[in-house]
Amino acid sequence: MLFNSLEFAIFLPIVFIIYWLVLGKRHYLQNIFLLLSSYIFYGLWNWYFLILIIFNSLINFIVGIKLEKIDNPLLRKGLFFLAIIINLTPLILFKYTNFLIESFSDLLSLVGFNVHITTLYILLPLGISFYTFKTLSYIIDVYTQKIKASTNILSFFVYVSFFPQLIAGPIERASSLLTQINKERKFNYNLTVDGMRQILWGLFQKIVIADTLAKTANIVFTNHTNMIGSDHIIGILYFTFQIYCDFAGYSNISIGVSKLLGFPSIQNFNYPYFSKNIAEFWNKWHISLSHWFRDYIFIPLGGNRCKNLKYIRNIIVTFALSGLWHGSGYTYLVWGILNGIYYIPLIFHKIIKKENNITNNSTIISIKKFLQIISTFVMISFAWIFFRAESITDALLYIQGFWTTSIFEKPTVSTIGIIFIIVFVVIEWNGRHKEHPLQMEKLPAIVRYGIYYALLALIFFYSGTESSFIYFKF
Amino acid sequence: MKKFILKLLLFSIPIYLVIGSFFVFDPFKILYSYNNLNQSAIDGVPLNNDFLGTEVYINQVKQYQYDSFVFGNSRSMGFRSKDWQKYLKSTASIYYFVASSENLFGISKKINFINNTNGVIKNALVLLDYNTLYQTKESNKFHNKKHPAITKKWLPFYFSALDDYLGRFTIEYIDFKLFNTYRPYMKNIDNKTDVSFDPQTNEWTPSGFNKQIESEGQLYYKNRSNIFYERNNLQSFHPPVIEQKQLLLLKEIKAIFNSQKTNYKIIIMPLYDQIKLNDKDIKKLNNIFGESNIYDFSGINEYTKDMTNYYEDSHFKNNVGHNILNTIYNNQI
Repeated sequence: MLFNSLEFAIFLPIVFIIYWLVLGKRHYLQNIFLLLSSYIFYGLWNWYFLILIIFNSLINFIVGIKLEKIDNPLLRKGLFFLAIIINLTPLILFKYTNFLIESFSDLLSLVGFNVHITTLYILLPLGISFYTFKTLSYIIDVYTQKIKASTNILSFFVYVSFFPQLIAGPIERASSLLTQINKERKFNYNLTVDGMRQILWGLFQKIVIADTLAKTANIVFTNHTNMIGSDHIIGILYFTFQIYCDFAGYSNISIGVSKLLGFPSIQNFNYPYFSKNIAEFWNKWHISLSHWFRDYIFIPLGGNRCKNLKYIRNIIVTFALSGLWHGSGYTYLVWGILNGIYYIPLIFHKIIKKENNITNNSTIISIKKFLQIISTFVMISFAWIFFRAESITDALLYIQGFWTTSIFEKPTVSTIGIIFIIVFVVIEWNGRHKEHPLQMEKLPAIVRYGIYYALLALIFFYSGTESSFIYFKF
Repeated sequence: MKKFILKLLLFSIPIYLVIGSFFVFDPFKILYSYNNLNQSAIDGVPLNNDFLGTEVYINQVKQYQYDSFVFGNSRSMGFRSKDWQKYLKSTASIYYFVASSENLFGISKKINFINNTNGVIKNALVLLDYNTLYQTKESNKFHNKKHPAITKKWLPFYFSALDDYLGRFTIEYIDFKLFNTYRPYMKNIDNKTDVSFDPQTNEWTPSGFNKQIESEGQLYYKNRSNIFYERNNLQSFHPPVIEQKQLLLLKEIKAIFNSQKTNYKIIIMPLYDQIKLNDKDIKKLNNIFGESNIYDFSGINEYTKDMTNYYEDSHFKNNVGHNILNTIYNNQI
């Protein structure tokens, strides 16, 4: 079920009404209902893959308890690694089998054996990368004794399959979400209203901005070899905003829905395109995933408390894995490594710090900061070419298209999207201190409602054929 | 909680109005009964001709006692009922049980429907091409969805219609309905397609094309050189398309034809692209229906060579249908 579909527009109010009005004061029943709703939400796409989620939940619930009870360190370690393997096996099987087959075939041809290996048609279970990372973090946290193992099977099953976050995150940790599931929830007016606003903003990002830009971006990326340089610039500019609005839009709807059900959630995007360097960008883009890689890959590898060369290795390995998490292909790997390489100058200049001056209240920023933002944006956009391209060759051909004088010619593709981008950037800039730009309680009610209706009208006008979210395939 | 629900209900009033307009105006003409639905679009709204064709059949079968059927997609308009009637008994009552983008699933379901509702199929023309054979499931698009009386899926059908209505289309539709003026932003409003349907036989007539050809004469083809693209005169073939699912549907059709003792002809239509249906598929069709009932006009031949046999690159003219019927019924093949 897509968040931007009529089915979901019917499903959500039914869940909301039963959850609060019928089961409002019965916490246990609320959790049972949440689990059922989550399974219906997922099962409407594919009932078979629901078995995988149930299996994953059950295994991790049992292993979590066992890890806490076992005193023998060796046995504990053994069980921990077994759990990691069990968690990763379906992910590797469903997501990386073809990539591994192709890589093996490529390797053989490199050493002179040209073999024709057939790849398999494998349907990727929706959300597998997300819920696997969720349960992995749980097992690691229990093993390292950061959290206590859940003894409530219902709560744990709800944690794994919680429908607002099931398909494309945010990847919320057990320390936050599971704790909330275990607690009684009371209807909170302000939280619910804010959730509604966030859903509205998410739908606007997805339907009005992302889907509009996608049309031209897709045309350019499909036919770029026949297009002029300025089309290439338009194509990547549009895709840069498309992927942001698509995924941040999804996250906003997901977080908004969580709020409607009484779960304040973590912020997953914090205006990343206003970042002054790559480190800041990754602190603001898909925050739940970035932090996951930081806590479970980068820090265990040694983090930044080591010599520069090791530090660089840790960064590159982390980003390469992050790239592969996004997709099983060389393009994603290159995209990840490229982002890692962007870090290297920062490491040598030791300018990775959490300083975030851009969130000060002034509308005007210094030229230096402006140039930093622009240069970071250009680097990020450049890396997205690899993310979007069909192959490395395709990406290189796309880049080649920039090196012609035709980048100064009038684009042959639609440029109307630039107006959308400008309006969107202005709104985001104005709202950059808030969790989402529609947190505008200080405005008079008439203005606020005017804005809500305007957004609703735009969403309505641009909706019609709902399109899937890019991050669904991850 | 009460405050929230009340505010939300008030805030959503425009949404109720929009949803209400679907039930009041019934833009796709699927909720209430109508006369004179023999048009491709009403108030600028392209109608689901598959639904309407079935609706007309249900309403009129008793009156006209249909017993001779044409099954296929919009290309069926290349075959005129008066041409076919010549080869049938004078009492034969023809019905075009066709639809835009019809597929094998639809043809099979319709034949089943006639059979299950005690209809009679004395004669049948089954018009096939690669695309018709390729699809074995119902389309997800509302405009190609079957009548729920055929599929027994009532809720998904009406839900899909509402889904199609809500959004940009609503605004375009209400604007067009209020002012009866076509504006450039109206992407979903159809002010071009001009196809009329015979109220008795449901036979389609491409009135719009005929008018254009009449007014433009020979320039019609020159003006559309991008549509009538050059072909390379080398015979190419479609990949084999008849697999297990298609075989099941075809055998189902054959079983009903046998039980009804239907006199049927299966025609592979001559398309502008000149790509021939794969020999393996022809063999499979021959095996099921018998060689004497299969007539393959796909590929390079006298009909497909001449571009003036076509309205555009998808639909052939009546003279082609006329000659094909003549060839088939006079065993000149």
